Formats: sequence, C-alpha cells, structure tokens
Amino acid sequence: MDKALGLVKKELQKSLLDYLLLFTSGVFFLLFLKTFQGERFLSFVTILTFTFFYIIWGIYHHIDNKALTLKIMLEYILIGFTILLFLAILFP
Amino acid sequence: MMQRFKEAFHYFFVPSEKNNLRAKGLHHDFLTFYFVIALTLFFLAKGPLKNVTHNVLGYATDISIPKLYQLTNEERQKNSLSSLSYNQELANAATKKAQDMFTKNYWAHYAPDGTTPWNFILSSGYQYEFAGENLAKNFLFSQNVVDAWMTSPTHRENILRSQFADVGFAVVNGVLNGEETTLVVQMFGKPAGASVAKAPVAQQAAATPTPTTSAVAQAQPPQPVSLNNSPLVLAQQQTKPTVNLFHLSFNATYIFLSLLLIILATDFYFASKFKVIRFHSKNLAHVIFVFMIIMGLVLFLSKGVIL
Repeated sequence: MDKALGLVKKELQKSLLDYLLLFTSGVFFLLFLKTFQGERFLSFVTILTFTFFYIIWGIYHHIDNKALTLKIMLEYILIGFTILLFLAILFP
Repeated sequence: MMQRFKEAFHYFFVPSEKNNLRAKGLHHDFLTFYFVIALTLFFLAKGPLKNVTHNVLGYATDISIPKLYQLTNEERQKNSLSSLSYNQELANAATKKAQDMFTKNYWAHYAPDGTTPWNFILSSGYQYEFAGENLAKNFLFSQNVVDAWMTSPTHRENILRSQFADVGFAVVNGVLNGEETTLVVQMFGKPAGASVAKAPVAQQAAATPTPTTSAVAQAQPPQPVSLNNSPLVLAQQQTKPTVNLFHLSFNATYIFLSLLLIILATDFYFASKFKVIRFHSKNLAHVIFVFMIIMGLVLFLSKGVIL
C-alpha cells in the first residue's frame, strides 16, 4: 500500500496543477449537479461538459508530458463515452 | 475449475506479463466491449425498441404508487402513528392536480389562476376537515421521494400529522417547462364529520390557506381500492412492461462504474507493488473522473426536487 501511495504522491508532485485542475472541475461538476438537481436537461448538460473536459484534460496532460499516443487518446474517449451513454439512459 | 477461475480473475484484474503488464479489464478490447454494452442498452432504451421493452418510455423513473404508500405508512408506524387508508378520491384529486400543473405549466401548490389544492380535493368528492399536499418532481425512485419529504420539516409534518386518516397519490409523466418531467402528488385528508372535532385547518407544506369547509361527512363505507402501479403518461399511450429496462440500466451503470473503479485500483496497486514500468494513460485521472461521476449519481442525479 505504501508503494501505491508513494506512486500517487510522485504523480501528483509531477503534475500537481493538472490534477488540481481535474479535481477542481470535479468539484464544480458536483456543485452544478446540486444546483440543477431536478432539472434533467441541465444535469445532463453538466455531465456532458464534465465528460468532454475529462477527455480534453487527458489529451492535454499527455501532450504536456510528451506521451500522447492514439491508444491513450482512445482510452479516455472510450471510458468517457461509455459512462456518458450509461448515464444518458437515465435521462429522458 | 477453481484454479482456472483464479487465473481468469488474476488476468482480468492484476497486471502481469500474461496481460502485457496491464489488467485485461482495462485493455482496449474490453473498453470497447463496455462501450458496445452501453450503446446497446442506450438503443434499447431510446431507440425504436423502447415501446417493447418498457413502459416508462422516455420518462426515466421507477416510482410506483404502492411503494410510495407503503413507505409513507412505514414512516408513520416508526413514529407510533396509525396507518393512512388509501383513498381513491384523494388519488383522483392528486391526478387532477398533476394534470393541471402540466396543462397550465406551473410547479407550485397554487395554480397561476388561483386554483388551490383544496379545489381538486373537493371537486373529487372528498369533503375534508383537514387536508394537505406534498409535491415532488424528477426523482428516480420512490424511496428517494419519501426520504426527501422526511428531511424537510414541513413535508415531514404532513406525513406524520396524526389528524390525517387518508392519503392518495398520483405519479404523472408529462412535459413541464419544455422538459419531460415526472410529478408525484401526495394528498392527505381527514374526512369531515369524523371523530375529532376541531376547527378545520388545511395543512400544506408550503402555505396554509383557509380551506373550504363542508358539513357533509363521508357517509359511504370505505371501498376496496386498487393501487395502480404504473405512472400516467400524458398524451402518450401506455404499453404493458415486459422488462424493467430502467432498473436494468440503472444497475448496469452502478455495476460498470464500480467494476471500473475496482479494476483501476487493483491495476494501480499491483503495478506499483511490482514496480511495473508502463507507458499508458493515467489510472489516477480515471479514478478521479469515475469517483466524481459515482458521487454525482448517488448524491444528486437520483434525486429530484420537492415542494
């Protein structure tokens, strides 16, 4: 467990601003969901925005680390869109 | 057999040389597989097959009147209060109220033209001594509706008011402010002329209007009432449900998110434990994203608003 935590710490130290940006966007995502609670369309727009932000963040982060490949980009897109589709079913 | 299961489990969750130092559950073929499952469910729910597979159609909810009735009475029993009887006249009043909100496009206890909840109750033939109304919209589950009412002091007061003897519900789907909406209306009442003699007061969650009182008591004996399980859908034909696709989709979403989180965590844990050096996307970013989505789903997306 110590090794895993050490790796998280190392990763955070390496790209602190990137992760801070992702985490902050996550907090805003929750705040917007709270604000639009009961408003299905606006809630869905919030999810859509957060998902696209996450994909763009992933691409930007890997470009910044000079480690972007098509496979990496595809991974972010697949995870993001799969979650988006699952959640879209719950909305009219 | 057990050994093969262990190996498959290991291959799916733990990075090793066999799976190219990455949990198989995170490989692109598996991520594509999850995507195809989500796409299939999406088309079943939203595509041309939706009429065959479920009855709530575009209105994604799993709220039922029997469940709301059961949960309301459970809350009363927890507080040593008598159970409420299901009253069809109050249910009719609740349905009329919900339909009125859709027709006149408002979300309030009082209609813009001044119609009060008590008008609906009286016009349904229920002569009351006490009456009350709770409203909810866009919840996903019956439990969330009753939980939200119980956390609001005024709505809780309605549910736990000892004077009330009857209750009626309506769950109606329609379009409100241009958005497909599920409205839940709960109406309480105590028939006029019943045992407790007090000044007539209508208790409502948001306001206390002066009710119309009547000397007519409930003369008829209580009649057996059937609790309709399906929500009304305004201007839309209902079909008999064959599969509860909404429940299936909701559970599939939870299972997928949980599975993804577990695979990401185990992959990250074992990769760091075995000091595996890899060149791929960041598990930490995926974990933050999935975690936020789960939080949003649990805290806000399954809940609506009450009035």
